[in-house]
Parts: sequence; C-alpha cells; structure tokens
Amino acid sequence: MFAPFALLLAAGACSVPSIVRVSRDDHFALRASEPLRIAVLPLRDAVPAPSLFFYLGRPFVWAARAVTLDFRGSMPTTESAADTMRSLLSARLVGESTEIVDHVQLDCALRSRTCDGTAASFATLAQELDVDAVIEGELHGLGAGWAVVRTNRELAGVVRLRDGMTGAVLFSADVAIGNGAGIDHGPTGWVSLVATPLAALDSGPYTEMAIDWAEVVGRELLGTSVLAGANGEPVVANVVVTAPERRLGAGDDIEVAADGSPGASVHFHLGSLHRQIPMFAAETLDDGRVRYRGVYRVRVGDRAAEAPIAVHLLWPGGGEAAQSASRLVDVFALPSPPR
Amino acid sequence: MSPFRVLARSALAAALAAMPGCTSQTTATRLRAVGDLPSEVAVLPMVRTNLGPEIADLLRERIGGAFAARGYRRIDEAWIDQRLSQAGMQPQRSEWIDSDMRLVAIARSLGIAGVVVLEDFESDAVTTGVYNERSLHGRVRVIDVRRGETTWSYWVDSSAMGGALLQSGQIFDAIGDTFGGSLRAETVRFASLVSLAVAEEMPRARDEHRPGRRPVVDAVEATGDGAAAVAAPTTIEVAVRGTPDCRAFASLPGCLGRYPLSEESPGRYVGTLPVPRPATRVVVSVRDRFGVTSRAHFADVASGGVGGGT
Repeated sequence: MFAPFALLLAAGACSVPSIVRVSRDDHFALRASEPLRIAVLPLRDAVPAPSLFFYLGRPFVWAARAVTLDFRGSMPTTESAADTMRSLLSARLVGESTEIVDHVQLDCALRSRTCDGTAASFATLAQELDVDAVIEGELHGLGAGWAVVRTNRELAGVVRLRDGMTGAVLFSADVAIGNGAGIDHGPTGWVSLVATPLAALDSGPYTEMAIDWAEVVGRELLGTSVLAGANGEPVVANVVVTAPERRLGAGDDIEVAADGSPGASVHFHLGSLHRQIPMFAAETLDDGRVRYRGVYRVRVGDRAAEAPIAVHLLWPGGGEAAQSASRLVDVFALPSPPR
Repeated sequence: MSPFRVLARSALAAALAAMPGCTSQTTATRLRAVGDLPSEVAVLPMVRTNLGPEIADLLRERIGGAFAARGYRRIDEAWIDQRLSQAGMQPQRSEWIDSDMRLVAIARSLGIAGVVVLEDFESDAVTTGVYNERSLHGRVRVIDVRRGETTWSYWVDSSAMGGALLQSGQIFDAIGDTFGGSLRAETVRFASLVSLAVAEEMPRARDEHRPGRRPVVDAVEATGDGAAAVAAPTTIEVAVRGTPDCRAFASLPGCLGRYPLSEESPGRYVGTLPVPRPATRVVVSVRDRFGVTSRAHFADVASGGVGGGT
C-alpha cells in the first residue's frame, strides 16, 4: 500500500537535473597574474518558436492557474531572459582575474559594429573593443514541456569564451537548468494532479533558474563558488601569523601558515589593504593535509589598523574554505611628508 | 527572531492556508529619491549585518553589478577597500562608519562622486515544520558626495515562504522545503534577486560615459636577491612605473596568483615577490580605480637574480 507513496517520495526527492557540458582548451586557465579584460556580448535568441498547440492550450493553462491560485509571474520573453542571464553572468564573473567591460559602454560600441559569427570576426571585434577575450553565446531553451501529469521547465544557454587575438574558443559551457511540477512532487488531490502541471506551463521561477544558470557557468569558468564546499570539504585550519609584536613598518615581514586540503589554491587577505596574497605548499603533514605558507613584506604606502589575516583555500572545481587568524596586525608605513 | 514573532507569522500563514503554492517575492520600497544619482559610485563594505563575510562580499558585488547594469561607473571594490584602509578606517568591522560626514570627507579626498551604503542587511530563517520562511533584507542608500546627503534610499527584501501549510498542491516540495535545501544557497539566490530589484528601481545613469582607457605599465625593474636557486624561497624586488592611483601586481609567468605592490609615490609601485622556484621573468599588471586592467607586461629579472631556469 505504501509502495506507490514511497516511489513518489523518492522521485520527488530528485529535482529535475541540470545538464552541464563544459569544454576547455588544454592551455587555458584564468590567472590573476594575467587578468583578462572580457566583453560579455548579448546572448542571441535561438529558442524555437512555439508550436500551434502552445496557443491552442492557453485557455486551459489560464484556467489551471486560476484553479491552483498560481499567481506567480508568467514566463519571460526570450529577449528579457537573455538580458537577465547576461547581466547575472557579468556580475558573477567579476573578480581579480577578470575585468568585465561595462554593458552600457559595450552596447554603445556594438551599435556601429557587426560580427558574422566567425572566429575571425570575433577577433576583429575584440581588437576594436580593446579586450583580451569576448564571451558570446545563445539562449536555446526557455519554456516548459507538458507530459499530462508532469511539466518540465527548462532554461538553457551556451556561452563561449573566445580569445581576443585569434577568436578561437578557449572555454565553452552549455548549461540547462531544469525545474518541474507534477506527480513526482506529490499532488495532494485529483484537482492538483491535473491542474498543477498545466499551470506550470505558464509560470515558474525563471529568474531563479537564470540565477542558477549564471552560478553554474561562473563556477565552471572561474573555478570558485561560495556554494560549493558547504558539506565539509575542503578545509583550512591552524592559521598562524608570524610577525614582530609591534606596529609593523616598511621592511617587516608578515608570514602566514595554514593547514589545509592538498591540491588547493591558497591565499590570504591582509585586512582590506591587500587581497589574495599567494601561499604555497610547504610540507605534507602526517594526516595528509598540507601546510601552506605565504609572506608579505610591508612597503612604504601600506597602512592597516587591527587588520585580520584571513586565509582562503580554493578547491579545484569550486569548493572554498576560509579561516582567520586570531592575531590582528597593525601596519603603518605611510611615506614621510615632504619637508 | 523572537518566538512571539514566529508564532504570529505562523498564525498569519495559517490564515492564508487556503492559498496554495509556494510564495516567493522580492520587493524594493522607496524611502527617499531626490534628484539624479552621481554617475560614479563606490559600493562600500556593509555596515551592521549578520551575513557571513563571503555572502556580504557577494551581495556587495551584486549590488555593484546592478549599478553597472544601469550605466553607472562603478569603482572597484578592492580599490576602495584599500583606500579606506590607508585612510585609517577598518572596513572589516561591522560598525566601521561612525558618521556620514566623515565618510563624505574621505570620499571627497579620494575624488569619489557617490557612495553606496549597504546597511542593516540580515538573513532570517524560520522553520516550523508546516510553515517555513527564509529572507534577506536591508537598506541600500546612495550619498551624493557633492551635496553631502543621502539622495536615494531603498529598503529591499527578498523572501521565500513554503511548507505544508502553503504548498498544499505539491506536498513533496513542501517536505523538501522543510527538511532539505540550503540557507546559504537560498541567501546567494536572494542576493541576486535583490540586486535585480535594485536595478529595476534605479534610474538610468544620466551621463553616458566613454570606455575607460587602459592604465599602462611604463617600466619594470626586477632584481633578484642574488641567492642560489635552492629549495628555500628567495625573493625578487619589483619596482614598476605606470599610471598613478592604481593597484599594481607582480607574479611569475604562469602562476595563478599575484603579489600586490604598494604605491610608495604617485605612479611608482614596489614590492617583494617571494619566489618558490627558479625564475628569470616576472609579469606585472596595474588595475585602476574602475577595475580597468592594463595588458600584462613581462620583464626579465636583472642579472645576479634568482636561479638559472625558466
């Protein structure tokens, strides 16, 4: 008697999966040492036009929305969805290893330029825009498919990062975010069994799906995410700061050591004065963790009051852990005023 | 959140039980909007928040993205943080701004036209089993530095309510909302929703600014410490001449990270680059107050430098 219920519960626990296809040039890596100036071009609309059934079914969908009191926003247009995805992706990609060209500037510059979609034309465009790379792509899935007792929503887009010199594709990500409604989410009655999937054809959390899409693309391209690593990996601990026990001046060294997961990229922040000072693997500990060390030599021009030292460990593929030292440091090395 | 408030919200949710469907909404409520916004803004570190540092930084970046999307020229967050630190402020503290007047004075000294203050941002979660609510809310305000006053201020709130009481049509979703999900993931999503709501309410920038010219690196001196290339790290002294008022960085070619240099005098950046492996070249870049980055500039390490390999 409980078997069907258990089956539905198990199915309900599985949300509609996201599909991620990524390819990356063997020699490509985003490096803070050689930051890329990137123009994120508008996403093209490659969503197939709706069929006749889409329009014929409208009255039933509206009726179902009324029955289920589903008053959420309707499905966005492809134009607005592509625009939202572009904005979210640009915001997601901001970082120390990238510079994202302002959209308003970019759109002004694009008015007088054309691009025929070939690698050479993207290279020409990049050189005209004075950028190191361009991101282009298209929205190719936006909508919902009805399967009587279940509706699958989808938002899918592909982006390609192209080298500004040659136009070659250095990285591409084709990401589809799924979301569903219907029988496997546990209808509570006969009415909701029928009406909920129908209502879902015209409504849904498309903005949230666009946010998830940008997060996935950003994680794949940058390799970092504040979301990954929430399940306990990776770890960083035992942050120790070695520096003279006084206010630090020009020439003083601040040495930072921390133990963490092996194979990670590790850096520390010196308060808000300097970000992402690199640390290197110095030794492997008995428990398999690695001791990372980094050093910063104070120079004229530096000043920080009671600055915390925060170590960040980035796991390849997205995990991140952070730990601050108990000690705060004072730095005061401003240039002497001219006499 | 107090138990009384939780009870009150649960009672309200019970009254709405007839309305099925998970409720999710993001609102921006205008508190003040006077005149145009400055065309260049610096989004400052948060004031009074219960958000973790990573989420607070992420929300700050997203709000900055909202201003950029509406045509405002955004000042690089790392640049402004560095300048605040050099001015003696402690932006890592929760209450780092003691008055708008002081903030305006610092902004004027740095030549910043407008500052965006993010304050009182809180993330709340209520889980009762039959009614759940998660939210992120706080205030965004813009201080026009020239006028010395707040000219634009909004209260923003993004929340999602669910649970069996509200989601009568899809019971497994309601159960999943109660026992599954991640508050962190939800808060990250709220941050983006809030930034979209802010962008929607914001007027477009009045002035269309031209693309910023890239800062340049004019000259680089890299001098090794003369030590032999052994396992112990040695150092390279790096001095860069380039566009003033930037942040500058040096690194070994191919490394993922980069070392910050300090601007000891206008346009002259210096630093000590630790070298964990033999190196004969360094790569240098500068980044201006708007985050516009120079092309990577490669330079040889002077003779007597570190190691003999590449």
